[in-house]
Amino acid sequence: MQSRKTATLHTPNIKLTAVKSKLNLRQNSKSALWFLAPSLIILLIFTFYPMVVTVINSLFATNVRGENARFVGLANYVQIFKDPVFIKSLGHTFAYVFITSILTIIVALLLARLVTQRIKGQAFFRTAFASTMGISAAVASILFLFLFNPSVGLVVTFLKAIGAKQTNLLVSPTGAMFILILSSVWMGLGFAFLNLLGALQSVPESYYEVAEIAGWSNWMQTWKITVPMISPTLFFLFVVEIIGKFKTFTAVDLITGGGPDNNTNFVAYKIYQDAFASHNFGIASSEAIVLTIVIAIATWIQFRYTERSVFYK
Amino acid sequence: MRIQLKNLSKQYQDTEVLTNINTEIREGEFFVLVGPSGSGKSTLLRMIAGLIPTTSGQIYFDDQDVTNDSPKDRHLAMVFQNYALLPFLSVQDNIRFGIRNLGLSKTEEEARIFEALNMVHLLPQRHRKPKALSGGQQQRVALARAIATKAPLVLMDEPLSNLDAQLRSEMRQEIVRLHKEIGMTLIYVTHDQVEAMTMGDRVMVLNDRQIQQVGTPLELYNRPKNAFVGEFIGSPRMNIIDVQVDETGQSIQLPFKQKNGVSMAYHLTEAIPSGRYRLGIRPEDLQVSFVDQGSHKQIMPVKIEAVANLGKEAVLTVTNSDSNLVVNCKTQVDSDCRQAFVKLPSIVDQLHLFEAEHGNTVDLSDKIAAEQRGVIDAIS
Repeated sequence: MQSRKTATLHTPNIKLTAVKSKLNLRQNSKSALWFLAPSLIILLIFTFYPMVVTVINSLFATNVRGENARFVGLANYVQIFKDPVFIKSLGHTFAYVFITSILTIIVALLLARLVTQRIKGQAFFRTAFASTMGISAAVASILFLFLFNPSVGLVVTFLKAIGAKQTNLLVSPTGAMFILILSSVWMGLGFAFLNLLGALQSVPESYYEVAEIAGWSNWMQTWKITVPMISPTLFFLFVVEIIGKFKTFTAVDLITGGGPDNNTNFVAYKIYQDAFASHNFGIASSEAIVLTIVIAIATWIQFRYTERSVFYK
Repeated sequence: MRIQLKNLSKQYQDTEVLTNINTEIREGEFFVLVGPSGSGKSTLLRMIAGLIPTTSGQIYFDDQDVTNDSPKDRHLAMVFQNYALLPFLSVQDNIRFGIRNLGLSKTEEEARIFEALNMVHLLPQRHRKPKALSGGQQQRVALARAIATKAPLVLMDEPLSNLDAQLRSEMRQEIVRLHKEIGMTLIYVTHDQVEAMTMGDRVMVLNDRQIQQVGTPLELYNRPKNAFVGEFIGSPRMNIIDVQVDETGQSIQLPFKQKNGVSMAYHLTEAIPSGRYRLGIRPEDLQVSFVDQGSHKQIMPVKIEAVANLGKEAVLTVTNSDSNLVVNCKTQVDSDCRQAFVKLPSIVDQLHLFEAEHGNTVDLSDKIAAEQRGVIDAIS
């Protein structure tokens, strides 16, 4: 034990605090384990075990009863990348994730800016904008389904009134995508808004006063002061939003059902269909693994390239 | 730059923050705005800067009406209490941020940054981030940013209140030195009367939305216009004693009793309206002794309630006949000491009589016969 301690202390390039916490962890590891046990057990049962099973399933062909029939190695992976529907699904998922994440953050930022300005009814707007946090994805999806319902939908009625020819957006590929993006942005607004509002309010007013006296325009103040000051929050939101949007399922299931012509058949939904409609767990598992890897890479890219421009206080 | 404020008022919805402010700040002057928190001094400063619009009245810079000009058109610089240094910019970039829009050439810009940093002795630290500097250094960067603009008017909003006492007195001298060197007009907001007294050429005392008094520090100390200024300027605070002027109008009756139980009073040669007044006496104008000198018309025995030893002197809280007084003692005092004798001042300049209701000063100097001027007679 003693020799190990000294070894750690002499390791270069490790911050002293890190060394300290490592030592403490080792000394207290027995009691620490007891405190960690409840969450560890839950993680083991509901996260790590399913992950391992998924990896195993992805290496097996599935029989008609949905059982692992025989070991096929990486054949499932080869097969899904030959499947035009899966490739299309991946592409559309990327587009959807990218557009929704950026839109959500931009709109939330605008709304937060609006609320931090001195306007009447500020408290009302603050609550209203944050309220989407309290609405479940299912309820929101039904709501949007109603809004765009071809016969009674409010939006459709409006479109008819202004003389639009194509009013049933759900049957057009871009229309269906549009509705999904809209509902998803709307759903994500509350969370992003609250985070950005907190970040905006933590920027001292005097920074803007200095800029005002130094003659910086409003736009330049946003660019030179606000964005760098809230960059940690922006970065956090991008990471969380992108991970979250990759997993979009409820809205697809309830609003478009993946259609028309698989145009909104995002990966998470395709996995579900392959698993529970086609009972092909082998294929579904390998798709799930691919999705996990894609999310991991997307997150890694963000940490590698975006985080450079983030300023931490 | 010369600044004139004419009938300046500020209202937020129904609440009036400043009422009818009229004053003139002279070219090159170190002008201090002092007042308790909520007195509107920061609001007034921001109105001069153009950061807050005025409700009514005008602001003139060198006879030019700037009331509706935007801050950048007023050619001024401002230093803030929290320094307002952008944490993600280096020291020199923070200064550059302040002068970028002045339309200077690249070389001129660099020269200004160099000069300003040199003036505040921070050249070696110019590449550092603000976080890597001490509080005092950060405030110096903020000063350098103001200096680099070469603005004829610099506004400072409580620039030293985030610093510890030691640094504060250092920075006080530093700001006074910079002002002497550069010679700009400087308007300085503080709630600390010590800063106001030690730094300002002239001081404006603000309270309750209004100007209480404008004058040199010694004018404020020696001849406060009202009870508020009397109490606000000077440390420890001026004692304010409720007194009664009798029907003759010539006797100010104090709530104190001599050793023999006789009530104390000041006598005037000229009558003033009888009634209730407030008498202000500074702690440093009261003399303490620990030797019983018997009954004397100016001396009263007191009970010591509290002793605060400051080293070379002590501040005592004493009572006589249930009335409290704070007294400065030029020597150290044993904290077990319970009994002392306080001598009331007899010089008219050391007595400040205020009206009971509005607190305005009643001038006593002409209430004394010419041959007695300067001395007021205290009798039993």
